[in-house]
Amino acid sequence: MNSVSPPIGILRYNAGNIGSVQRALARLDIPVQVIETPDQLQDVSGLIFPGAGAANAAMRDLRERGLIESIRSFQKPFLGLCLGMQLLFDFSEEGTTECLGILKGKVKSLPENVIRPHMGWNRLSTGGYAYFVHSYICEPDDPGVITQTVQYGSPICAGVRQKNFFGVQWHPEKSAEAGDQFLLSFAQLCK
Amino acid sequence: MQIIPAIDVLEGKVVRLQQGDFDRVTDYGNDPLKIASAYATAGAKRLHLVNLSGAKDQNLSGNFLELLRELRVSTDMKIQVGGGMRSLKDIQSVLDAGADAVVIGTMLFENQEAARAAVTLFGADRIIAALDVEGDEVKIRGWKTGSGVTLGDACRQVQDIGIRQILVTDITRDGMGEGVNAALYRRIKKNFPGLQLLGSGGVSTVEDVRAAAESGCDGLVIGKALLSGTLILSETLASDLSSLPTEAPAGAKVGQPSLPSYLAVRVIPCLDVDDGRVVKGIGFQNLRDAGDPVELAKRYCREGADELVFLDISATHRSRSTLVDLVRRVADAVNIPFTVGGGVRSVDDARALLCAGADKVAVNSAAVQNPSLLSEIANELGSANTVCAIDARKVGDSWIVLTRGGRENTGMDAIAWATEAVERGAGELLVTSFDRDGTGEGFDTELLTQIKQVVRIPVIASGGAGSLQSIVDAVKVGKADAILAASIFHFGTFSIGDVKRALQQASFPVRL
Repeated sequence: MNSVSPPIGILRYNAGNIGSVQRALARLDIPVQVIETPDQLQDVSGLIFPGAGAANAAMRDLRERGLIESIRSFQKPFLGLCLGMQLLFDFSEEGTTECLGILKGKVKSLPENVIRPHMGWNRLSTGGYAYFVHSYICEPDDPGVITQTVQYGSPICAGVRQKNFFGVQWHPEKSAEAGDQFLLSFAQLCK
Repeated sequence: MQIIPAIDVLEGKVVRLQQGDFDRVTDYGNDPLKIASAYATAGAKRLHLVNLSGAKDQNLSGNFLELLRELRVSTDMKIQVGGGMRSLKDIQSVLDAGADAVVIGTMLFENQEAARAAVTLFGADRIIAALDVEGDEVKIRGWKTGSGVTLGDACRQVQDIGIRQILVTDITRDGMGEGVNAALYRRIKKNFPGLQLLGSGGVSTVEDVRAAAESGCDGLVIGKALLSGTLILSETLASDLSSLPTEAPAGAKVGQPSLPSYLAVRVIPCLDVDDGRVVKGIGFQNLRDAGDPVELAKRYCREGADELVFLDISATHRSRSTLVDLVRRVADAVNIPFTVGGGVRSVDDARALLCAGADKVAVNSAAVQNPSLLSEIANELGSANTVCAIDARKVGDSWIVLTRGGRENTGMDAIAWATEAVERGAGELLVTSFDRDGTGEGFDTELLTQIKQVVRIPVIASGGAGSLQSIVDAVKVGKADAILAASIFHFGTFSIGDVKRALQQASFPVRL
């Protein structure tokens, strides 16, 4: 990764704490630009959409900043992390929130029979351990968009992709080697 | 075993090469769509499409993608595509044009990072490794170049990057119709039972198909024999093979019945800091500055710590800004989560730590004095970020909560306080036995068990880490979700790896 390639954007919204994602990319020498308005999106080679706070507050903030349409029509590689992945779907049970609707499907609460939140290191179906902290899970209408799963009571969706929209339920910025590798992979795709 | 008819396309036409040689091309007509549709009608469920133009010219043309899009709308067959993919973007284009999986070969050896990235980004079900072998060596670049890698090593490599399906072609047999290399397939299935094996090369009769099935292939790619009519697909499918293994599911699918969780037992070194420096003796060599929490944090991170806990034992007013600065420096340096506690008395204290980069804050004495503080922090900053630290000492048959670093006995029942802490929104409990702390005699498994019986959130066991068995017992008997220790790690009694291996031997999942 050299510094002449255009930066990857990190979307700041909902006054969310984007520090850990920013730090992770800095550690990996991936150039970064913090994005707060739609017009800044043309400068970046891809966009990371971190999870911050609750679904309804996040959607409200995206709406107020006029970012919803810009996200839906984004053509370059886009990566939603945790809540950022959940918001790509049609609807979330968390706060009965209508989301971006880029991927068809719903976000539901983890079932009663497992400890909520699902917190800690869990083994991905694609190999490696990833760090999870979440209480809601994505249920895509089309199982074909699922890129990886993880066992938690039953197999749950840990990653999705549809066209240029990628999402992971876990936190690559906190997932040691597996996380570094994932972020570098995404950066490679953005080049 | 699944029969997978193959169509090789060169400049829009279906062709068949003999032993990969572009000078020996048989043209089977212009229309890949018609041939594909005939295969689908005959009962094929999966199509192997080779982009020979791509393989020859090392690029992916728009014409090929257009053909793929047309195929996608005209058939329900699964389509796997190989040839000419050199980058993640190529793979994405082919998947977006309608392929269910891509077959990569050269990339596996010349750009392994990209191959690994492809599995991570697109999913293991989408990537098939093509291993073209001559003798025991894998060939690349359209069979022209030796990779210098043996088939066995190649299988290990692809497994290591997360690939679960391999397509193995014996190139001395491909297009020759002289029978499949059953011995080769048998050997692969024996040595790599975790890999789905697709065979290819040399099929001309139903006996060949049977031989491939008996050798353990999960699928068989057939090209020329079907195109030339030597084999009739419907007959091949009919003759098949019902007694032989069929394709197993490539991976766990969402919604399937419950399987054990692989949630790892976390191993957490704890660093006590006073005015920005690690206190308690540190036995490490090779640290530039053994008292620097950042150096130590990086070291533990490299050794495989799952999480770190920093407890500020000074907790004077002046030291708060030192602590916040320390948190910032740790956050810059490590790629794992960490919790900070000690002297958190308000929502603002907690927020300052999280904003500086901590993942969770631990609240102790202040929450005991003012339980609503826990609710406030959990509401404002999220339950998952809110850890309630409980220091307990056994008195008679129960446990009493201590505060102020053990100096004050509150008379409160520790189990009742744990219950209340969870009701108020704590997302995790850090339970320290003051009777055991610093003794190395093992965790208070009785205390842990009692707390785990009343709460449904993760519990970190702390205080008393000694032998490896005592650590296993905290999890086995005490049902702890994580174990925290200081001295055994600081003094090098055990490494984090030692602890994890002991847990693994006791059948608990760990991140190794």
